[in-house]
Amino acid sequence: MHRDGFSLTAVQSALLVLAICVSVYAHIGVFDAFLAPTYGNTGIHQANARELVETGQYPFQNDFSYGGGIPNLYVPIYRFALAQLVVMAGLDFDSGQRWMVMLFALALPLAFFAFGSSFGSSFGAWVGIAAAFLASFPSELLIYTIRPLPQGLGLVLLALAFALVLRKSRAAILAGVLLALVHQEAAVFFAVAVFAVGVVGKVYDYLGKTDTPMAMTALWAWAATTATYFAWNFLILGHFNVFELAQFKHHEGGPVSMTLLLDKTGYLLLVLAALGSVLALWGAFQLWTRKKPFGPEAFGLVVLGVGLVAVKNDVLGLSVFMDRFIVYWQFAFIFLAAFGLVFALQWIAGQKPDAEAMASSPAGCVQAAELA
Amino acid sequence: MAKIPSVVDSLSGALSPRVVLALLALLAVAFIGASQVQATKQSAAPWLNPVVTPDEVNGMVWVRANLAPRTVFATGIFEGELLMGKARMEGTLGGDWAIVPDVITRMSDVQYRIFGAKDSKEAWTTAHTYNASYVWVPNRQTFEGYEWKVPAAVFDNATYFQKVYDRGILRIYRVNEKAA
Repeated sequence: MHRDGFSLTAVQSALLVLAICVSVYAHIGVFDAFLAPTYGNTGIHQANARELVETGQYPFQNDFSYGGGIPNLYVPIYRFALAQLVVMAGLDFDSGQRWMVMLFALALPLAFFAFGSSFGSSFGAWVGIAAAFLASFPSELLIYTIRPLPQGLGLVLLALAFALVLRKSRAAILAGVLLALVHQEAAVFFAVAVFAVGVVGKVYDYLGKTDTPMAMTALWAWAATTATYFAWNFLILGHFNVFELAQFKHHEGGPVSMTLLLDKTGYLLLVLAALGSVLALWGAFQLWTRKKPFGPEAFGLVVLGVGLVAVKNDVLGLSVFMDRFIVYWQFAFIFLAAFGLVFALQWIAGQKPDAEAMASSPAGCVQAAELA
Repeated sequence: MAKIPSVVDSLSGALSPRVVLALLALLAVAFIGASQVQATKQSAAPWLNPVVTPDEVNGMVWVRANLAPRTVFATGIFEGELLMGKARMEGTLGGDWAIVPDVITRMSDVQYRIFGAKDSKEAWTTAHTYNASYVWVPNRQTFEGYEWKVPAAVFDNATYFQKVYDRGILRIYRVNEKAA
């Protein structure tokens, strides 16, 4: 039984298992080569986990990077998890890294199911199932989760953290703290996205005289994520200045063109996301006119907007990580595409939303489809 | 057990033309989606290439048996990652560059003044600048931040380097403390 009050039917459960199988099929290539993937600096994470296992100490102030002798700024939870997996399962590090990827493969569709099902009710279950399948579509998401990197764990956590914010759960604060200690980029995207959701939600409430509890959850999650990362930065470096990092000074990352976006995302997901965005805009407008709280549709649109700003931050003069943010933008694509797909299929099948249902559901117009 | 005609009857009752249309649309999405997943797997395949070779992984046995952890090697990025991950050594390149001082100069020096050095003395001097005690030299293209190139043939010079390991495509040289 889902906490929002729906149970998965046998068909839905079977489809969710199938989505997990598709994800495992997509990730199984991690076992192909004689050695676990090395692209993306996988060795540095293995080195820190190995140091922990072989010496019992974590090198907080002596990183292995670039000749060593510098503080170990990279956040440590993934490395702790890898060390834990190797010790508990009795694996060598190479196998431990590959099995870590398989855990990402299992968890990713489930995390996207949780994210998509935030629409609530049976409609939400279908959106969650669609999102679980769509998570295997974009190549960029696979490239980041098929390698044994903190990004993989961070992306799973990001989907879960979004789901918790949408459910107005206080666990979103814990998810933000964890995310800040798993992967910096994912934490930055989460913090900016939930800050935007919180601010837009509060403005929406102020103008519409509504009450959106999700906005406050989002702001708490932003505060926890931001405070955790800056506390870590201070603990390791003794200051809060993140703009001295090489990624900022040397403008790591490349510009994002439409061709690159298509290559990294695929036509199908982009088309479905465009459909979902239009429908979400309409759904959010319906809620606004009926003075109903800010819903998942608007959440998806705000994250979409944050993703756009992130990948085009060169226009704002930042020029940091633009192409690296594509994978986070794809979270909004998947969420909105799943919503659009389920809405469109229900509409084609003749389950038209009605105005009464639109006005009574936090999921907006789409839940009405079930009442038609 | 339901007879086949009765199942067909009940299905035809449930499947209105609009439901059939929705199912066809879903099938079309599933079909395109299946080919998308295949394309996605192909896009990810190059990222699974380990770059380093079995000979180099075998070289770790010698490294772990003969050297203390944290010994610094002159390496490209992938070789540094291999050494730190497998044997807790340190490479002149590889790892997280976020707070490394003068990291661009370091990459340029390792690329063009060690592995692309014009002579043995330049490679030796630069290795000393970055506190490298050993040099990891695979006979394949390596990457130090600027371009993929086979290491220059400057290390077989006993005045500056001593070869301590030579198996398969991998050679390891100790950097002389002083020029002999």
